[in-house]
Amino acid sequence: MRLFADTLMRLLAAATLTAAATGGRAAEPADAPRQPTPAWADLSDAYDADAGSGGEPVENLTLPIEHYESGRVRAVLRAAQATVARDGFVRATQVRIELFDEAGNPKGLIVAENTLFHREDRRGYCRGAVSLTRQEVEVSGRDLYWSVPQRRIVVIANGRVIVKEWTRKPGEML
Amino acid sequence: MNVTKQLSTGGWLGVALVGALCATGARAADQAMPPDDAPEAAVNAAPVPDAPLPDAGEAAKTVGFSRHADLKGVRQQQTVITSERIEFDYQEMVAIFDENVRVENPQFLMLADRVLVFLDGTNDVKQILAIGRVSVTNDLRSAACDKAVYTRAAEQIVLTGNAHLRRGGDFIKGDRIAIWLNDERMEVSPGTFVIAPETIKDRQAAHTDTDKQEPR
Repeated sequence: MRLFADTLMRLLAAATLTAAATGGRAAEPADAPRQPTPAWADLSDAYDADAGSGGEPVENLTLPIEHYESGRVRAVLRAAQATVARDGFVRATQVRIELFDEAGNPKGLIVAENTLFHREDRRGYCRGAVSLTRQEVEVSGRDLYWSVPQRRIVVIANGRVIVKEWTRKPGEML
Repeated sequence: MNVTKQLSTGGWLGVALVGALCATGARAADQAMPPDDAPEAAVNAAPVPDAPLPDAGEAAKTVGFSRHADLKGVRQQQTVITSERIEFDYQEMVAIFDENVRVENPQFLMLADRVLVFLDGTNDVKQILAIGRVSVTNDLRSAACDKAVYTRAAEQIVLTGNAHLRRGGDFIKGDRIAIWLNDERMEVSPGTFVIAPETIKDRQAAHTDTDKQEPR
C-alpha cells in the first residue's frame, strides 16, 4: 500500500512538473523546469550515430533477451539482418520479438522495422513503425523503448491500442 | 452547501472509466514483459464471469441502462485508445497513457491529457487516474473535470476541479463530485443542481400516467 502511495505521489509530481513545463507559454523563463531527459535518449542518440553498425554481420539472428527464473526463455529477438558489435550493441532490421509464457507457449509478438539493443544493459530502442499483438489486443505506434532491468516498455509516439474484445482482467493479459 | 443526490450518472461514468479505459489500456501496454510474480494460473484464467451488480434503481431505468448492461455492452465492442505515448511499468504495475488520450467506444468518448491505470497483485484494476481536461460523453450525457479518480476498493469516482455532469438540460456542478457506484449515490460540494423545466414536465407526466394505471 505504501509502495502504491509512493508511486502515485511520484507520478502525480511528474505530471505536475510536465504540465508546468508545457503550460503553453510562448516564451519560457530561463529557470523554468525542463522536460526530463527520456530514458531512451542515449539509445536514440546511439541509433543516430550508427552504433553497432560496424559489428559482425549476422543473418537470421536469434537472440534470447529475457529469461524466467526457472531458466525458460521469456523473450527472443529474431532479425533478418543484424550486426553484433563488440561494445555490446546489436543493430537489427526486420525485427520480431517473440514472447513466451513459462511453459514455453507463444504469448505475444512485437514487430519492429529497426532495433538497437545493448546486450549488457538489456535495453532496446526500436525506430519506425512498431506493433505489439496478443490475443484480443493490438498496439501500434512509432518508436519503442524497453528495459529489462527497469521492467518498462514505452511506445514513444502515435500510440494506438485496439481492444477487440474484453474478456479478462487487465493483468491477466500480461 | 453539499448536495447529495441519487442518480444513474455514476454507473455510466463507471462504465466509461472501468469498462473500457482501464481494462483495455493496461492490458494493451504490457505485451512484452509480464511481471515475474504474475501467477500462471491468473495468466491462463478463464474469462471472468460477470459479477453480480446492484440494481441500478429507478433512475437508471429512466435513462435506459444499468451499469451491468453497459459493462456487457462494452465487452462486446471494440475500443480504441490513442495517446502520444503508452507506457507500462510492470515493476510498479502501472500503465500510463500520456498526451491527448482518447478512448473511443461505440458507447462513449473519453478524453484526457493523461491517464494512469494502477493494477493490483491479482491483475485487476486498483485505481484509475485521469488528469487534465477530462471529459466523458455519449449521446445523452457528459461529464467533465480537471481530474478524475476511480478507486476500485471503494467503488468510488471522485471528480475535482470544475466538475460537472450533464444530462439533457439537467446539470450538476461543483468543485468536487464524489460518486459511489454501488450505492448509486453522489455528493457534490459545494454543489449546484439544475433541473430543466422539461425534466419536471416529463416527471409529472410519468407520475400522472402511473396514477392512472394504478387500480383503485
